[in-house]
Amino acid sequence: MTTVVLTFALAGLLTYFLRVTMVLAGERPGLTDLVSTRATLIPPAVLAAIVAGALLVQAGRPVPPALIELLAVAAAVAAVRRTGNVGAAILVGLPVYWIGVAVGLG
Amino acid sequence: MAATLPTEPNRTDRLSRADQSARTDRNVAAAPPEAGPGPIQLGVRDMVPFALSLIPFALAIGSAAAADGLPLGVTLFGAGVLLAGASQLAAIELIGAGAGLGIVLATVSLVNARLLLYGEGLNRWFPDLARWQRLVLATGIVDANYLNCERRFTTIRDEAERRRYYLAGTACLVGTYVGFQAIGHAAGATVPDGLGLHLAAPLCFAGMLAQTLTSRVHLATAGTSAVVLVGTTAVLGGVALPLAAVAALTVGALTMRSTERMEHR
Repeated sequence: MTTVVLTFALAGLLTYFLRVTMVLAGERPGLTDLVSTRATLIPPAVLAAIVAGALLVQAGRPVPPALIELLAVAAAVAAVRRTGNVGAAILVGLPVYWIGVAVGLG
Repeated sequence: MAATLPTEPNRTDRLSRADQSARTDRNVAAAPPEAGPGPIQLGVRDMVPFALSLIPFALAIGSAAAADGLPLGVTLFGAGVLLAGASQLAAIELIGAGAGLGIVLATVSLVNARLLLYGEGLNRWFPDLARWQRLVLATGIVDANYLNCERRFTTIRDEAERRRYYLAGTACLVGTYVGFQAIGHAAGATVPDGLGLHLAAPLCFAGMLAQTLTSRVHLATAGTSAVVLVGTTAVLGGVALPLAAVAALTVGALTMRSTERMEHR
């Protein structure tokens, strides 16, 4: 358990470093512009890998996606695109999943 | 009907208008300040929708931590030091899967890399604060309070009020986040599978992903990442995620550069 605590502590330090980097580098205008432009690519790069890993990988092996989960995710994405609120992903996606379970899709 | 042409206003009209204007100015000056919500109330009020949308996510994190056998204290320690749900959940899942320290840290850094952008906001919002105070405020900056502050601080100009707004909203968010993780942890063992809480995190991530796909470059970046992850995961295991992200960033940066060149021609 000590290793887990240490992992969280180091991850917290790293995250804090990310938060303060621009506070410290804020007075260098060229740097902030460059970082701001390129950094917009980071969220899609990371989030796509996480979502693909959650839907298409099981026990370290690629698997075909479960239809019910695909439907829930598609509904969640549509809801977020429409409302602009990430919370809508769960508010719409989970009920779609429950309906899928109820009608025997999952 | 004869058409009337606009004419130069006579002196009486001009004086009368000037007088009215002066009276209006005096009335405005004498009027008591508008009694709207203060910065603390406003900070909490603006944060409530975000905090509510965070509840299922926090429950899912607490539940996942309990399922991986992490004690409540360790789970809340992770919540407190990271203050970033996506990376905390990714870390919990990787720890549960037996990934090494390096993999967990690399993944957390990549997931939280967007926080790099938010520190810049603190410099703009609080230019008169000492740097160490901005470093302290940076501890709690996340997507929600960054977005709220960007919107509200076009009208809230006073730095002390801005600070109260920022701290109140952040406290509301952190309280909800940590509190509901504790509840999710306590309920972890009793949550039935059919409830689909295992899907809460991918749904949130997919929702966040949907918001980031603002151009073909971003779409290409996301597509590359997903393809590389699925294609390499059987061979590389836990390393596949950071590798996929780096490969996607490379493709995205190259695509962005070639797009910029084409636009300049």
